[in-house]
Amino acid sequence: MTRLDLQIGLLFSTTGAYGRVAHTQLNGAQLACDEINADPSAAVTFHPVHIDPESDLHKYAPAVQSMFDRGIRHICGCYTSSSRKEVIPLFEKHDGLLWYPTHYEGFESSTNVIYTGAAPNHHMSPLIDFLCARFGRRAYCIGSNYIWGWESNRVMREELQRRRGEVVAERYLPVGETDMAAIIEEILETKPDFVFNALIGESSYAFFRAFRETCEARGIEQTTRFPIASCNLSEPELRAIGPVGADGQISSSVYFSSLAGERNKRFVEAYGKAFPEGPVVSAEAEAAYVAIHMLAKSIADAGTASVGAVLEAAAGQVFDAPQGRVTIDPETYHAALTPRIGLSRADFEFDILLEAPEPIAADPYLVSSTTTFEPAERRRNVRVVQ
Amino acid sequence: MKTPRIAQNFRGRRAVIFTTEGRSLGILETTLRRLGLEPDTRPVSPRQVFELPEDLSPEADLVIIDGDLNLPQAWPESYNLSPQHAPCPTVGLVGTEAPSRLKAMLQLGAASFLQKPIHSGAVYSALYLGVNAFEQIDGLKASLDDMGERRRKRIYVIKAVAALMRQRGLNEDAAYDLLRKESMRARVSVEDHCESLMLANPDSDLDRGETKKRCQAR
Repeated sequence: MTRLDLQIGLLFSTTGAYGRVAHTQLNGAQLACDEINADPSAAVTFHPVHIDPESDLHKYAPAVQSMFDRGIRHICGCYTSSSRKEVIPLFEKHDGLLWYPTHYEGFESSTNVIYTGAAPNHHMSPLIDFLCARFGRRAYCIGSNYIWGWESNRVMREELQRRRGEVVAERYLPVGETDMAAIIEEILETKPDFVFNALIGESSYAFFRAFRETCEARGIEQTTRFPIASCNLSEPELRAIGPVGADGQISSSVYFSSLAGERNKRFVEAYGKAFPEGPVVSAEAEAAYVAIHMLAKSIADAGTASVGAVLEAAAGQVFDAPQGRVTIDPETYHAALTPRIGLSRADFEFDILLEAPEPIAADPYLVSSTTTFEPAERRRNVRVVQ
Repeated sequence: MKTPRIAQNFRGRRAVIFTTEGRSLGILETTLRRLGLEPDTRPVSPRQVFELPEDLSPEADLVIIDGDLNLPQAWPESYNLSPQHAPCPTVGLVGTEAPSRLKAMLQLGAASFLQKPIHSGAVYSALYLGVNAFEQIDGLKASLDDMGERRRKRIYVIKAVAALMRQRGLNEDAAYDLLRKESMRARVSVEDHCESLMLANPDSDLDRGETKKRCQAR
């Protein structure tokens, strides 16, 4: 077979509110392209075209349209769900394929998207088990005011209700908001067993810093009295938080750069060598790296880059990823991944506290992990009989 | 009335689909499987006359009917349904968006619509509304039936109050209060309680013939 030359799109905001993490995704995708292009046995040479939508929702659709106009049909990109929802109609209209490399809240299965990031049963379910066992069942939930925050907090609330726990408060801040004073006062007042944080980007970093500072000023040991748990906290973000507040935080993810094993060591080294200026590797970088490799393998199997054939070849595709074996489920087109719980350290890495023994199939609609009805609100149910 | 619980997970339901074969049928079946349902497709050609199944249950099934078909006017009589009610949650597939086709689906109790060609991103919403609207209508119907039943038994409450007033010399409020407390203790409605009281003592001197004649139950 002659080697294909293929332009692909990389749609990542390297600037703006969540530019730091999305930049690591760009790096991960770029590294995979370099590896494939240097591999003489690969079936394809990728010519990546990057567009930076600057974390601005309105810039995503025009960016994708311009890629389609150039004849590009395979695009790896999007960090936020809102940006993904914004571009999906274009992918369906032009029959393109979006490789989406970010953990997300589930409840989607577009026929033109392959999801290589974690689904809610990968990050939420193990985290809730861990938090309830370790700290208790009273949560303070905070999130960025969009679908990720809303759905993450819904799953948290319902799971806690099911376990007879409670959410003492649920608060939302606009993406990019950094004034945390009122939130912090409320946490200290409501005294939850733990704080569940679904803030993203700068808001999240500001929260970690300000909460730690307030706790220190009042003589409270934050990491033990008010542990903060997130499903979207990665290594480059620990660096963004800085020395105050980065350590002792709980993160649920399918990848940490400190994972043991030769495969991950090679990946982290190659990434560090390719991008010495950073930002450092993250779970999303790994997911983007996996996506591009899966794309190359699927093109090799299909013998063509046509979207229909690649989609078919991607079903059941397996890749020996830095996190371990990753498989694309033919039913949902979501990746089977290995959940882990990490605890951040002062050197901006994570200690792995828990790890699933093997990859777990994605359950994007939580059909296997929840009951038919939303759990009942707890209320007093007393019959008065005189 | 208690707030109905919202269903959000449709795992294990059978989805009986009546539609013509088409490109979007595949998308519908795939999406239903992703949502944990078991598609059970019964292909029908556009002009064919066909019958709706008689074995549907409200908890285990869901029906998807295509408005472009020659739809039957009603569900089989064995279900004993009132008009515009379905035996299980029902979703309509809208091809031609014409009043006659929408009405045909509404008459069969479709509580939500899904536009053809089917877009995978719309299926969950259609099921969500279809199932929950069905539950809500079912709940309302049950509470209406309950109200009708209570209305039918109102006469026994009147009789029981009157009997107590005469037997024990109580006023209306005190007599009713006593009956209500007794019914709560027995954990039945005050209407049921009064009915069983009055039926247990049909020869009570207070249950006089002329009253019986004028105020018969039903």
